[in-house]
This record gives sequence, structure tokens and C-alpha cells, in this order.
Amino acid sequence: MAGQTEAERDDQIELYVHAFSREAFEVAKRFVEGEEAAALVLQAAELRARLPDVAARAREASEAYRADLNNTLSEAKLDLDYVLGGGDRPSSLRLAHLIAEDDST
Amino acid sequence: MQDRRAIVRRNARAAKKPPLSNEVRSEKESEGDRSYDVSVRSLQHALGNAAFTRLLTSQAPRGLTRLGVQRHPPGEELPNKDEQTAEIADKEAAQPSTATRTATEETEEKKAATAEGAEFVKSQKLSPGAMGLSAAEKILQGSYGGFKKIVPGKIEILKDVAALSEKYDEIQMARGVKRPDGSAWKKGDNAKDDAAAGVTTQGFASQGVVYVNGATTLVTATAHEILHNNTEPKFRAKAGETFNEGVTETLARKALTDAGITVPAVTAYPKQIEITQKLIDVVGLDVVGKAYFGDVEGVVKAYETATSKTWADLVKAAEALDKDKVDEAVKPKPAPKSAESASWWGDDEESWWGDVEAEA
Repeated sequence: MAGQTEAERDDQIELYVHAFSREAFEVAKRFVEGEEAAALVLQAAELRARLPDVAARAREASEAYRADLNNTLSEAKLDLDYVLGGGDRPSSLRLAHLIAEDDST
Repeated sequence: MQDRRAIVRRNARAAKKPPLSNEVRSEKESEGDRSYDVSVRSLQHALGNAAFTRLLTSQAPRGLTRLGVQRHPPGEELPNKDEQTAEIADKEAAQPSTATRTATEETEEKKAATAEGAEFVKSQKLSPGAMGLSAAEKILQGSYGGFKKIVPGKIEILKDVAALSEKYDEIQMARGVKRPDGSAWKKGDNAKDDAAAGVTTQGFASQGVVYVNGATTLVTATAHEILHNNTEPKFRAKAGETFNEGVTETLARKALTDAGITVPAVTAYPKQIEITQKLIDVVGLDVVGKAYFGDVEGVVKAYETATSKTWADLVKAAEALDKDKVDEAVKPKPAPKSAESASWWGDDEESWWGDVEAEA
């Protein structure tokens, strides 16, 4: 965007990527918590289809931010694949902690 | 601390249910109600309530510990229930945190952490990569052993991204997972999926084991995952994802820095760290650390004492990664007017002087 500083651009990308990732995690969380799967699978599929575009946007960020953004999107991909695979997949690390907490209660 | 919380819960339950379990009741009956009551009361009288409770808690079989706080007739509503619950909560808040190590242990553990830090720095010059589990455990123990004994949990550090991806495929193949087109999962499929999505898997979990990329460029990666394995489970639910990740990464960064490792300005979760720092500026790192490892309510109380907002307001702003709203939420509570400042000039002091000037 014209007139935008690098810091502002990074800030915007970071917010965008993290918001996407958060959305993916929310879907996975609701799946783990036992919400009705069909609607969540649809939502996960929609987000999964958007992932390559979000990842392309993440690569526009400054080098210093890319490792974090990739990490965040890698977690999102795992969350979505977990839902799409009906829970029969390895999970993201963040979801694993949630699953472990659920198991311990 | 746990015991006191249990007391609050137990009291709440006692108001609804007969207080003695069958196990306890049968033991009581076998002794004979009267003699049991007399001897218990004598002992309680001789020792005092606090010591008596401690004795039961430390020595009696599990079921019998319930007797230690039984101060009202069985099956009846607790007298002054709210008052008693508040009293216990107050005592709990006033309790100093229980140190998990002695001063000597602390010195030794900090020394071990620094030694591991120096080793890590040396090893990075030869071949950069993720910190080993044992090193990260010692470094975290050095910084946070006063809160909790740090345990690594089940983490497997794989050589690099390719090895991690292979592990993913291996797990999928062993499970007999099918691809979306119905074909069998095969080696290389995860890498293919990653490439199509434009991401590189850095870590995943399966059946209680965490697998991470050993060639990660994020210096805090191992420490971060170990910290997650040590956090109080209620912390995430109470603090939300932003603080969960922000505090985890902040603590990982601090531990590495304490151990003499140079940590880059940006690692993982930079936005979450920024927001977490705003909370730390209000309540202090010690309170946040205690909350992370156990005293979750402590940070809520400290935050709500210092600001005009509720903890829920702060978490909502943090979850949206909305820095402006977080800034608003961390503003300190306005100081109450002191007796001196509320002088007889009252609130109109300025306008009074204004009138004088106007008349002049």
C-alpha cells in the first residue's frame, strides 16, 4: 500500500495471519470440545482453501517476522487437517495441550 | 494451596451433601460413634484446629482428611458459609508462595543453567539448531525452579524439517490414513501438502508426544514447548490464547537471556509478547509467573486492583490483538482524592481563581 512504512505493513500482515490462525484454532477447539462436526468440517474446508493465499501474504513480511508467521500458519494447517481428518491426524502443538487438558479432567 | 482450594470446594459440597463418605462413615462406625467422637475431639482440642487439620492431611488415609475441616453437624448447611469461604480465600491470598527449592539449590540450578547456556552458545557456532531437551530443562529450572520443578514432558526433537515431515508420514501410514482421493498415505505426502499450502511444518503432536524441528531458527522453540508442558492447566482457560502464548514466549526468552544466550529481538509470537509486556508492566513478572505455574487467580486480583477494567475486558482486547484496547485496559486506576487535595476550595478551585482574575 502506498505511503505505508515497513513496520506498518509488517504489523498489518502479522494481525492478518494471526487472526486467520486463531480462526483455524477456534474451529479445531470446538471440534475437540465435541461440537457438531459437520458444520465445523465445512468451516475447516473453507479456511483450508484460503491457506495458500494467507501464506503468500505472510511471505511479504520482513524476514524477522517470517519464522513466527510460518509457525503460526503451520499450526493453523495442522488444526484444519485435524478437523478435516475427523481427529485421526497428528495435531498442532497448541491443540495437543488442549487435548491433554481435556484428557486430564 | 491446593488443599485450601479443596477446602473451599469441599465446603460448598458439604452444604449440599452429607459430608462423610461411606468409607469414612464405616470406619467411624467400626470404632464406635461415641468413643470415636470423643477421642477425635480430645485430640483436636489438645492440638488446636490448625495443627489437627495438618495432622489429618499429612497422616490420615485419603478419605479421613475430610474430617479435618468438619466444624458443623453432618448433613447440615454450613453456618456462615459465605463468611467461611471468604475467610479461606483471604488466607489463601495472604499465603506466601511455597518455595520449591532451597537457597543452595537455587544457586546450583542457576549455575547449571548458565553453564548450559554457555554450552549452547558454543554449539550454535558449530551447528545451529534447536536447543536440546536436557539443556532447556536445566535453563528453565534455573529461572523458574522457584515456582515449580520443571519437567520436560514427552518431546522428540527431530533433525530437521525433512525428518519431521517423514515422521508425520510414518504416523499417518501406521494409522492407515487415506489421502483425500482415497489412496493410501505415503512417504512424502506431508511435504507435498506443505508445499501446496505454502507453509513448513515446524512441530506437531501425536498420541501425547510432541515432535519438533531440530533445525528451527527460533532459538526459544524447545524452551517454549517445555514451558507449555509445565503450565497450570487453568491458565490457558483463564488468560486466553494471547496471554498463553505471550507469557510462554516471554518466559522462554527471559530464561535463555538469564542463561547468557543472546535472544533476537523477534522470536515467536511478537504481538502476543508485546501485549503480555503491558500486563507485566501493571502487575509485575512475578505475579504473571506465579499465575502461569499455578496461582491463576492471583494475576486476576492484581490486575483488577491496579486498573478500572475487569480481567474479562483485558482478555477480550488481548484475544483480538487490539493494542489500543489493551492500552486502554492497562491504564491504572485513578488515584482516589486525598483529604488534602479535596480542600475547602472543592472542585471549583480553578473556576474560583478564574473569577478573581476576571474581576481584577
